[in-house]
Amino acid sequence: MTSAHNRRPAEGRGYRPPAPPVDGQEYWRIGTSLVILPFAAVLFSFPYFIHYASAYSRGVAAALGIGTDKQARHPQAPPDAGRPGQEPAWTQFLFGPVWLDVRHVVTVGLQRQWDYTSNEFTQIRQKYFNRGTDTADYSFAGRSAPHEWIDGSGRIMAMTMAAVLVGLLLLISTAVQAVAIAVIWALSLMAVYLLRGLDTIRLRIHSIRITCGTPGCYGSVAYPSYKCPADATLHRDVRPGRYGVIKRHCKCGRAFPTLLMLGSYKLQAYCPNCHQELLPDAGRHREIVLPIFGLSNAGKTQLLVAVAATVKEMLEREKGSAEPADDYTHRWFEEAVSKESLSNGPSKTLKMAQRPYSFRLSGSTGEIVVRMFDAAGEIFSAADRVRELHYMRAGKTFLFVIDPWTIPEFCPLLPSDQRPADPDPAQRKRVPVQVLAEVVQNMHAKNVNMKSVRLHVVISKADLIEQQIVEAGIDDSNSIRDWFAGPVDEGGLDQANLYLTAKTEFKEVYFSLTNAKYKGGFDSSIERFIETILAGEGYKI
Amino acid sequence: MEVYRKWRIGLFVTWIASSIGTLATVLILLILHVT
Repeated sequence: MTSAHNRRPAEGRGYRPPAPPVDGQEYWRIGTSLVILPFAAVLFSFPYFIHYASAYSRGVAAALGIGTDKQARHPQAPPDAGRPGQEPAWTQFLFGPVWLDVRHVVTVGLQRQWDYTSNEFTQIRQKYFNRGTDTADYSFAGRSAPHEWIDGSGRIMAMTMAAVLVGLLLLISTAVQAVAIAVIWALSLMAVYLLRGLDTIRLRIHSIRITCGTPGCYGSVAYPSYKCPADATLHRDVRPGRYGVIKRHCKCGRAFPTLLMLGSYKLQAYCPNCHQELLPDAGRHREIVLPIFGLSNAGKTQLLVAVAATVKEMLEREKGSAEPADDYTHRWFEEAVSKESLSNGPSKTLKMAQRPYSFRLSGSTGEIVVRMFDAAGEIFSAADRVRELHYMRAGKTFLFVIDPWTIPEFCPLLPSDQRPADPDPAQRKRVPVQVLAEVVQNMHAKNVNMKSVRLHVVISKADLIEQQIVEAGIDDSNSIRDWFAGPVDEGGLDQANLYLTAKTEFKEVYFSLTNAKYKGGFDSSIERFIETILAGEGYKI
Repeated sequence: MEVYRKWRIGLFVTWIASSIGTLATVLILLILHVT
């Protein structure tokens, strides 16, 4: 029977003969290794330090997607369309992604260092502590010699020292980096509020307001929305914030400015409420909103045509210009100033609410946009429909057009041959003072501060009452007012009620007599009327 | 498409700069302390 003690395992299957006794030469080696151990540990810690620092730097670069060995974090893509509280834009780097990247950088950097440590430790272990049987040195029968253990320990000590040193330095530098990022973040946050404040101040200084011209909306626009010029995605609020300070990046990657003063007016603007187009370069120049109201056939549209044509002529005379600000106005103006239209009078305004007629005026006192909101007289015949005219909130000058023939007190003043044979019963049902009262009531319901609004009472069709005007000696606003509000027995129209209502409710009340009939040109009363309105808005031609 | 590329390069530069700055500061302090 063969005992297990006498059996010899096959070579190369894990068998290791017992270590031979340590000889004198080995004692010398052990002694030398022990003496130089601390020096060698310090010396070798330098290359380890360089290796660690290098591994960490490469890790930082890789984590940030720099170089060939990329291991960058993939940021979360923005939603396709803006949801409430979310925009289809990339979050500005400093307002979120930077901290995720910092965390990623630290993770990747430490992982690289750990990989290096682990790899190096394996090599040290194989070289110094666990020499395999395939080594050529059989003096210790496949085991590491004691002095090699000491040398290996020195390596590990060097590695540990370098790791601790690098760790401390990186801890400090990461803290410094975090502070630097926090400072830049705080500065960016300040820049956000500063830029928004400056833009708001600029808009206030230039009295720039934006009004949506879309019927049914007519809203006052706090700030326009914009569509990305590349993929036409609507960005509701582009102002500086978490999606960008100076520029924002659409989900498609296209960058565009965040503020009007930074050039966002170059993009097509949209109303944030109804998402319909606003005027081209909305918010760049001051808008003067002129709501026009009055009963049917009061001559509102005729007055608008006369104003548009005359203001163009006046500005061109002064080497300025007055051009339609949008396609809608362009088409209307082309048609309105056509020979046929001028001779026959403009077509009747549609009973439904319409877009305003917008003109860009450029003169010696700068550039403005005049927006004239013309509503059909029928709208003013129904009090509830007056409430649809939200644009009235934006107007600082209201034009109240009155056809003198709709004033009952006016007809008796006329010679019998000039009196209307059969007054329109529909018109006679309502009188101008009722329209004014309803507009005022509507403005109160909308909490509009009427004391900041001027009212121009425009008595139209002056050509039909030329004789009465001459007899009454009317020429300026005060004399028109006296005639308009004066008693019948003194030749007045007895509209004191209307005047008192206007005077009580509005900041200022002006009176104008206009003749908007085209006779080879428009009457000089239109020029005076335009000058008065624009002067009231601080614009001189 | 990488919208954060420039920012990330900037972050890398400041990271390396702050690391070198920290190391330099520590070395200078050490040298001053020793001398």
